[in-house]
Amino acid sequence: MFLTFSNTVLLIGLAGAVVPLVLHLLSRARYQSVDWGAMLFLEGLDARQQYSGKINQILLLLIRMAVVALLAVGLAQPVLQQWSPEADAGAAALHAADRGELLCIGGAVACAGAVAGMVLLIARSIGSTPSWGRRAAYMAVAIVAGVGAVALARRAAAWDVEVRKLMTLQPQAKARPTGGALRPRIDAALLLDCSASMNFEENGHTRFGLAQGAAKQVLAGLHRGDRVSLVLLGQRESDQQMEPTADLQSVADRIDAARPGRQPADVADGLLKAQQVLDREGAPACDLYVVCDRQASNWRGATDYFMTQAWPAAVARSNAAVRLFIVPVGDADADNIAVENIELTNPPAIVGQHADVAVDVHNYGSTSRAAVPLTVSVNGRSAFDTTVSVAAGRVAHVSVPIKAGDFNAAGPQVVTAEVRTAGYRDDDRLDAIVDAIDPIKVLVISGDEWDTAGATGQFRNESDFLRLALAPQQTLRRKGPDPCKVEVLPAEQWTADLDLGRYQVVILANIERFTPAQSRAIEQYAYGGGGVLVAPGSLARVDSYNEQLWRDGAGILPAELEDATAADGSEATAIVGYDPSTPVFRFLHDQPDLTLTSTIGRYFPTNARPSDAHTLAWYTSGAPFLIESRAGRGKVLLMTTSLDADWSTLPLSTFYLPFVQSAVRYLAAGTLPSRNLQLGEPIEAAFDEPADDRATIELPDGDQRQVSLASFGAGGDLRFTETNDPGVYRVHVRERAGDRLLLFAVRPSHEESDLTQLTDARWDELERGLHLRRIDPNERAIATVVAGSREGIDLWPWAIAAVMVLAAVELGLARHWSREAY
Amino acid sequence: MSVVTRYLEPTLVERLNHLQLSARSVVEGSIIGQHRSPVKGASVEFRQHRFYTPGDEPRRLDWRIFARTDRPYIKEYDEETNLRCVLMLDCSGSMAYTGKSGAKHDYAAKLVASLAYLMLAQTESVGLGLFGARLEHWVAPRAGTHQLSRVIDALERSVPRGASRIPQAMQAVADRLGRRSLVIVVSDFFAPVPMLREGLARLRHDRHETILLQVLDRDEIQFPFRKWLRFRGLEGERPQLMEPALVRRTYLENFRNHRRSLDETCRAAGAEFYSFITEKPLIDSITSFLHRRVAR
Repeated sequence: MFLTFSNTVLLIGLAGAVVPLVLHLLSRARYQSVDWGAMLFLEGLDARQQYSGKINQILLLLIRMAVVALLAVGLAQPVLQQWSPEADAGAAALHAADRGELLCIGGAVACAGAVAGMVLLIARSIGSTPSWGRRAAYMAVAIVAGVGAVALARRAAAWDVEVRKLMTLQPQAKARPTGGALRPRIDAALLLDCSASMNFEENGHTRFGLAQGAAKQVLAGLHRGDRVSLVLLGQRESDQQMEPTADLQSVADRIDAARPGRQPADVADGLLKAQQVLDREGAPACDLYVVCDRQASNWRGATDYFMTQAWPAAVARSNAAVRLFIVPVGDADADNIAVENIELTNPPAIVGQHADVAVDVHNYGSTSRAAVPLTVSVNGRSAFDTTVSVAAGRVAHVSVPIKAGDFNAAGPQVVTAEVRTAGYRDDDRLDAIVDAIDPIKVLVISGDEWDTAGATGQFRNESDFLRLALAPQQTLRRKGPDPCKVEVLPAEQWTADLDLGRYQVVILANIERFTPAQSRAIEQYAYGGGGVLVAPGSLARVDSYNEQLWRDGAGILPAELEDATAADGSEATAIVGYDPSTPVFRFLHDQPDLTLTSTIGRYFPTNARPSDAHTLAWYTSGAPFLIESRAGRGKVLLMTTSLDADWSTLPLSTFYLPFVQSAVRYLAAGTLPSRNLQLGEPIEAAFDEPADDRATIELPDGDQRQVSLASFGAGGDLRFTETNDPGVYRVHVRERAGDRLLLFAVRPSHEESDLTQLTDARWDELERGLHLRRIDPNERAIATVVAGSREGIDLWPWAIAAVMVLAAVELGLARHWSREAY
Repeated sequence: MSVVTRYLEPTLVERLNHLQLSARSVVEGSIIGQHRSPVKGASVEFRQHRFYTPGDEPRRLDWRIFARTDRPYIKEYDEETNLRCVLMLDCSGSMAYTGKSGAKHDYAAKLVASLAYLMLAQTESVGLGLFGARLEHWVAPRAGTHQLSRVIDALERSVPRGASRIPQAMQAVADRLGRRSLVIVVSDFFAPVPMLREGLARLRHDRHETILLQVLDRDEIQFPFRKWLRFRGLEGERPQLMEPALVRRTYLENFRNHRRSLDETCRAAGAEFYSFITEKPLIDSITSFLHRRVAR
């Protein structure tokens, strides 16, 4: 706090404080003489007996001087203002700090002098006979003066620290223009938290409603002529929207019209933006008011760097006196449960096939929650109801079975999971787009294909096992849906005419060698988005694989093959480990030991892998069993043993069928574009032959937007960036082949789900680091604090009241002592 | 008796003619007067009978008793004598203080002149002692109209100045008085009480009846000053610059203590003590004094 005066000129009146002293001295100098006979009774009075009277007289004199001085100070309209060294950087701040230090030093010295004087009085009174009451008064005055001296000395030291801080942190401060006159026009920035967490409901109101009320109270505390810039945290705003305006009513209207967005708020970023906007206006004083909840993630940007470098630098660049106020709204309730993720356990979904959906339910609160209702629906139809219990701070993974009939047509499907909770509900529901496809078209190019026609049930080569595993109904000539449609092509018939693009997955099973043409064809297929499973076997020539497919890391093969292990079974092994995060092995979630049911007699060790290759499963020896790598838009899986029973018992185990189906699904899914986006992530889609250059996008709230397509030849690309709300976006495009519907699901921000509150320590850190002042609406009226903080505390009424009180005291004391004397 | 001076104004004299001052104790006079004398002699006031002893004057025998009892008894009478009074006037500097109602010395001189007139009119013997640091002027006690002139003449020539040493003056007067007398001391008695006690003890030892008449100005009693004043001592004391408001309470306290001590000392010494304020008309003060004295 520091003191300023509205009418500094009137401080000249302080000189009037010496008038009582001058009058006193004059009356003493202009004495009269009298010839007096009763000198007997005056002997010694000039020293001892006059002593107490002199004290009274000095006290009266001091009161009279104080009356005049306080009157002058009151007329000068003193204002006590909040001190903030960083924010008020400038010559005025330094001057105020210097003045504060000097005043405190002077006051401390005066108090010390008073203490010494009182001690002297007490010492002198020991030899005389003053009343004990008077001695007690001396001691009381000495104690009070001593305390005052210590307090003022400490305050002077604090001022000294502030001065040094100003000089150190902002050496250019002295060169700046004086930071404005008292009570200048203020440009204020009102930062309103519009993040999703402000939808938290408590006591029948949302936190955003409370924030709106608080923001309007801040406006009420401003003055006519002040200008306000409204910054909506968590929403995209142009500079023009943030432009300060003196029309406070329009700002209030904008506050009323504002709604919480879906983006998280970043207060630190908002502060920098607001300061930048205000700097352009060149106002002498800037106040920034942040109205937000107590969510810790709002301040994730307030790092040490921000507090020690970025923000001080922004303030230093400003010529204005900058002050920062925080108005936290809402209580400290931070319990929240969110549906965090939905995904198919083994994508893609296949029409007519049942599927498993994994739903992650996250408890962000500090208390465990039991039996939270969870509903999963497909395309709006309820598919599964259950309850879930989640420990505090943990994620519950719920596996939801989707019946075979729920995905009854190919195309995008909307899977929705929803929990029912109170408080923050924006993240209670999550939509996900699942592409259901017709049975996967799989081409098995077999190097070990010899005539097995009509020999159903005889399993001699890879294609036999694969056909049964991928299309069991068809293989066994039964009716029923199969996940795949399998075609087998002997390697000898693989010519350049083969159109691999008709298949979603190609399996290279035990091919002896590759021609360069075959190598190019398979590479182009993979780069175009196809899935390739490479499974060498007993016929495979390692040299050819490495030469045509590995090509020193430039080919599609994930690893360079070495010669197969010994044929005598001395290096037989088993699959002991796998990466549980990969969808290929999610079927092992409930039965991880399934891999051990087979014995691998021989396999191809690998000795080098490119950096993007990833081992998904491995043998007891540590050698990889399954390696994955990306090839353009497609995926390639390398299985280091044969798919038939020549080298292993794998086809004979219960592991084989789900593994092969899962691998094929995984490879097929790689060709499907992702339809699930994060908040703010643009919707992008390509259309081969759009009939129109516009697409219609239906937003989650039902609104529709027309978006132009960027044309590339006959095709067109769509890019839509306004994915600010979570939910399902429906894209309608007219193509020559007919209308096409694409679905995209935008997920809410998980940052907003975490309602963890700022801790006291973090508050303290922010208050110290940013020199912010917290205004608690529950403790004081915001408008009053804003007006008071901006204008300081008017002291002139107190000064005038003190004048009146002192005058009354002087009158009373003078009359009392006069009555006592006469 | 008709004497008019500035100390005896006509109105005062006229009022004094109706007053009378008498000694409370026995005094020794040289002529027959209104006051009882310790000397027994021819008089009309019977005192006692006593048995005749050889040498007694036969004419003082009470023949009636002798005739009835056949025993010789001498009839004794009290002899009435005139009052011998010495008026002592303080002429020290402190008596020069002049307030709104006039100088204390003038008032005191008028008081002395009035008492002298009063007593001479009653055929008493009146003497005068003017004193300051010492007994500066002495008029031996005598009766008769001429004595008043001598007293007034001495008063007119008196000038208040210098220090005051009342005890020495009392002792000097006591040395001059052979017989028991009435000693009236007129002063402000601004002197240490223990010293006064010594003088009073001497007078009491010589069996003189002593009356102390204190003459004060209202200013000395109330100390009414308010502005800064430089007090210059009339008896040569060091000047003192003071603000009266600061010292008034202590001054009055000292004043009251002194007066109380003086009163107690007088009571202990068998002396009478009366105060006169200069602002009060002299005749009223004298009348009040005499009435109070009679009432005692």
